[in-house]
Amino acid sequence: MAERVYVSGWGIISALGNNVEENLYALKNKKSGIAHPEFLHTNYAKQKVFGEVKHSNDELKIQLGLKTSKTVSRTALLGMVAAKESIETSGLSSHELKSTLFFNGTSVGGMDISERNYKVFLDNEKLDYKSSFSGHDCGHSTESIANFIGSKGETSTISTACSSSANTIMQAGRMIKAGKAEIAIAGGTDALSVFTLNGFNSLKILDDNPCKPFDENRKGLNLGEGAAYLVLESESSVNRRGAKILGELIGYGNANDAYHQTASSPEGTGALNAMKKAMNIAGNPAIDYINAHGTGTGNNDMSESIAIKSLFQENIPNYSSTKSYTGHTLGAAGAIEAVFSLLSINNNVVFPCLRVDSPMDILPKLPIFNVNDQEVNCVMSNSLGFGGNCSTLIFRK
Amino acid sequence: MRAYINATSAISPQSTFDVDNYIEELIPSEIDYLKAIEPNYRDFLDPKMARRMARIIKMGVATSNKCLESLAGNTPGAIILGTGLGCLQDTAKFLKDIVETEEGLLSPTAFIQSTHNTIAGQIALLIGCTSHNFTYANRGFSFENALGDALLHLEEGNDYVLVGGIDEVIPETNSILKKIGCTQGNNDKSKELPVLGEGAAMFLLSSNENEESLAVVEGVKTLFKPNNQDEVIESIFNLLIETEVDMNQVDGVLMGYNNSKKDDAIYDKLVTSIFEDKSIYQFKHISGEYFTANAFGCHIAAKMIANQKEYPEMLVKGNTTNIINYMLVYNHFNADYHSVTLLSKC
Repeated sequence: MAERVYVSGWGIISALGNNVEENLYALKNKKSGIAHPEFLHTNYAKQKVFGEVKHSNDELKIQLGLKTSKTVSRTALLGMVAAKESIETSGLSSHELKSTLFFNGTSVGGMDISERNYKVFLDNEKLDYKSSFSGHDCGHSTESIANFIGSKGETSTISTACSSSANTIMQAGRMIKAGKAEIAIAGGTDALSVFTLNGFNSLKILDDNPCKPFDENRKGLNLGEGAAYLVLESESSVNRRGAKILGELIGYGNANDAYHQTASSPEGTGALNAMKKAMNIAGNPAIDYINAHGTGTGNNDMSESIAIKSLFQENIPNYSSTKSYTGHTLGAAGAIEAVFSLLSINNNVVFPCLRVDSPMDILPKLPIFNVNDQEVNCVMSNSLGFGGNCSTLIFRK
Repeated sequence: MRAYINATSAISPQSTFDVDNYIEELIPSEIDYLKAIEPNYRDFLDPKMARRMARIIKMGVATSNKCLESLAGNTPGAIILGTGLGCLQDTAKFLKDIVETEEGLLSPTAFIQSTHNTIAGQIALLIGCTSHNFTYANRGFSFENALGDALLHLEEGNDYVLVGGIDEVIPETNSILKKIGCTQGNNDKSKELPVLGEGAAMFLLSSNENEESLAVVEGVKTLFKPNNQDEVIESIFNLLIETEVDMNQVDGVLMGYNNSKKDDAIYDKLVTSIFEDKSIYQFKHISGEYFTANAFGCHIAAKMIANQKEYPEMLVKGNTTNIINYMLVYNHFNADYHSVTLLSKC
């Protein structure tokens, strides 16, 4: 008998705030976190807007009780804040943490530190190479966070661009379902970096103004940063611990678009396949709300809309993209939006797409424009990434 | 879950891709790290594409192509790769572009090819595979995570899974890692540190045996930051218990000796304790050290089992055996990431 997979803890940091409570407050009050950056050192600071976390690295270190002199990537720092909250809300003991698995998703890992030092390296100048580059690889961020939270179970790092952390939640869910794990912390983290900013800018898919997902006149995405983790737990472990349940992971699916390295297929084949797989595993439940990938690029929102239409036909559930609040947090997006999906379930509320003036007319239903109180039992969350990597998660009350 | 290795292919710093000429004699490296011997990619890719594509992606495409030959055009149920550092060449190129232009007008090509999942994504794109596609980038567990996931997919009912480990060295990382003290470089053997290497090792796993099956993956176990040697030993025995294999049945052990005193101490201790009567082999003098080197280790073990043949230059200790039924592959990275894999004869 396959184990059911429950969510027993959550933690988040984003442009909307430092914890679950602050994020919920911003979502319910339509307070977007998108603005010109204070901490990202780039020539584009005055030209472009971001979903930047409103704390410097030193502030984050102090909050975490770390020495400010210690070099830690922003990616790892954000991850530590969110992972810590997920453990606190789950009530996991330090003893239980020792055998807890830690699944982390990230696209750039410690790039924020390496990119700052790369010029010095190219110029062959003096530098502390160890602190400058040894945290570069994605797995190093995972290791730092695992050490910080005291998790001694196995670690895993998935790097599948924008779907990274949706995939870690899926992976932890599959392992628990198969009886290969009891408790896992799964999610992801990504800090803003000059590298990704210039990458997305070279692809010409950034909007200089706050993004407008699902708007006819959308001009592109805004980059964001943050981290979020869920504590996923088997039914037997939840019962044994008497843990509070925040929701259940009932469906997940990953598929590849196999169309183009960065762009989505016009028919949204990958997204449709991912949603279908997830619905199939979940037993085709009625979906009350879709937290769409909805980046705000011409290509994504069109392709995703067509995929949603193919799956749901005329019965389109309520949908929106909360990237209009947070920006696209890349490797962290799937986990951040998983927390938003669970907030929706726990508070019977759905969150709007901000700034939509002329909604796209592909779907027979418009996105949500206002904070709506409604019964929410089941939420679908999409994460579609570079390399055609498409993932869907489904959570239930 | 037992998994049949129905095909395996590796590009490594020695001749391993061309099966007719498989590690006949070891060729010393002339540069400061062990560079992969790459095939003529025009046999797999149209020349225009081969020119544009980053070499790590090409290594992935060529080895996966070989593994997928037996599927006769059908696509696997999942593609799962492990890569510790991903596409370094394009990451470094894009970083350099940013520095040199001071965030000026940039071509997106290097950025597109810089993300870790580009390799698995390109493989899927070229063969039109729309199924599950994951990339693990988890230091010394990058390949082990992928392999464990592949076994889970077979358990879930997938018939075929393509799984592999892949990493590349670029002169910039060799230089940085030398400065950090992670490697000594190939030109200076005095420091007893590892030499960096690179390569791709790919496997087509199946839940079903066929006449092409080479070996069986009985199981894999990872151990993160063990407190002591006993926990490592316990983990090895746990794998044997779970797979119902007795230590006496194990014919040989392939280990990740890498020339570093600190790292090799653990292997030496195992040799004098639980592996005392076993034939001991090594593989990193061929592959060099990298996050996913263990994928190459598993590839070699599968080859030894399939061909029932040892490669004398890999023997560290013990006698050559006539029959290889069970083989353990034990590797660790930086004493933090330990893994043990058990392979057997079909």
